[in-house]
Amino acid sequence: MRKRINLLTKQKKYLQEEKLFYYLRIASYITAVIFFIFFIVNLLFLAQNKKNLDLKKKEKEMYLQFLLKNKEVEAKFVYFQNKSSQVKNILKNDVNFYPYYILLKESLKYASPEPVIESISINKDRTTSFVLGFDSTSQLLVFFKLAESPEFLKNFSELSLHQFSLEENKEVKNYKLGLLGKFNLLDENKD
Amino acid sequence: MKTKTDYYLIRLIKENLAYVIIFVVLIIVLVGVIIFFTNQYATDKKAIDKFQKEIMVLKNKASLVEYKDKIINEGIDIDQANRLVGQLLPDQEDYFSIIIALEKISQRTNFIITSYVISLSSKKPGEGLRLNITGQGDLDSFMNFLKDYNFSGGRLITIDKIDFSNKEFSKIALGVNFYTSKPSSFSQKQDIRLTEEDKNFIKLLENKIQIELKSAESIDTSYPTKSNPF
Repeated sequence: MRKRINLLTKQKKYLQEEKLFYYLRIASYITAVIFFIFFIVNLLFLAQNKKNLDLKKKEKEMYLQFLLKNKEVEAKFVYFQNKSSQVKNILKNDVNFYPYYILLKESLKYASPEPVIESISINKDRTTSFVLGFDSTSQLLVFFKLAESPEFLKNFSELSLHQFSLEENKEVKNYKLGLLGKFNLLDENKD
Repeated sequence: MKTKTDYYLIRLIKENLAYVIIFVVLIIVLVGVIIFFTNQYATDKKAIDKFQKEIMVLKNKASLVEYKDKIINEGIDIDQANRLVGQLLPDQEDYFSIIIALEKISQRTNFIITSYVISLSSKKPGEGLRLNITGQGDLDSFMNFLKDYNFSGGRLITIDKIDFSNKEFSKIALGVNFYTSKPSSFSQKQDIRLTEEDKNFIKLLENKIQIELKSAESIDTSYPTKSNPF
């Protein structure tokens, strides 16, 4: 039996199918063009990246060669940083006596007449004990006022009186105060 | 119920089969190409970033050559600075330099070191070499000593504890420490350019150890020496 297509009755449906395939052909062309452009553009970008990479490689090699010729300069700075940091670390274990002694001496000037530092002992952990000598009770009282003042106490993280004595020799009185404490950390830059 | 065969559609499919295949293949290839290019871009970007970071580090190191000359204009010579710190903290113990250091300090401060005892047995690795010294002088010379003992002998010296009395200067006993240290590992991530603190430190050393350096330059050290004169 022969197959027949009735174009009159199913014209609308056939036209739709025809249109569908027409769009499919157009889509194929467009896809091909897009694919082609996309491929070419990306290839160009990739080539550019490759060029950049090569330039970076060359630049790196250039610097490496330069550094190879001048490697002792970097070594010198590394050596200095290394040694100086070791020196600075070691100095943290130093008693650093002089600045703390001067600090105490200067702070005692606020008490007038200023007492005499008879003896002082300072440890590397900044703990200290010192003995102050006074000629009179009035001088002693002035110091007591100073010892309670913030100007004097700001130099110490702790300070306490641990000894008091009186020596009398031919009508000359000599009062001695022994104090124990710990200095606050000074600026590490000496001198 | 028997479905009718759409011959027209079949004919259309046959006629456009090439387009259908091309369309499907292009879509598949396009997806593949997008994935490929995306990966390639990511790889390239990673490589370029890596190179850029490496170049930055190298550039930074390379500029040290210029920097070395630049700081000379500021009065800082890294070679001299290294001689100073190397002298302060030698890699190996040199007992001769300890004796010289004590003599230098005596000369510079007038605090005369009359005797010293080196306790070699007490030296532990990583710690200083301890010397018990006895000295004499007046208040000024002792204060000068206390101001300058760290560097002025040309060797790094620390003291753990100082007992000071304003009446007794004839026989002052002190325990001093000398140090040696080999350069330890240093993180290359750190900037090795000199900070203002470093520059001040170098200037301080130059002031304190100037005489020692000048005399050291004229000393011929090519003669054979014993490693331990004690």
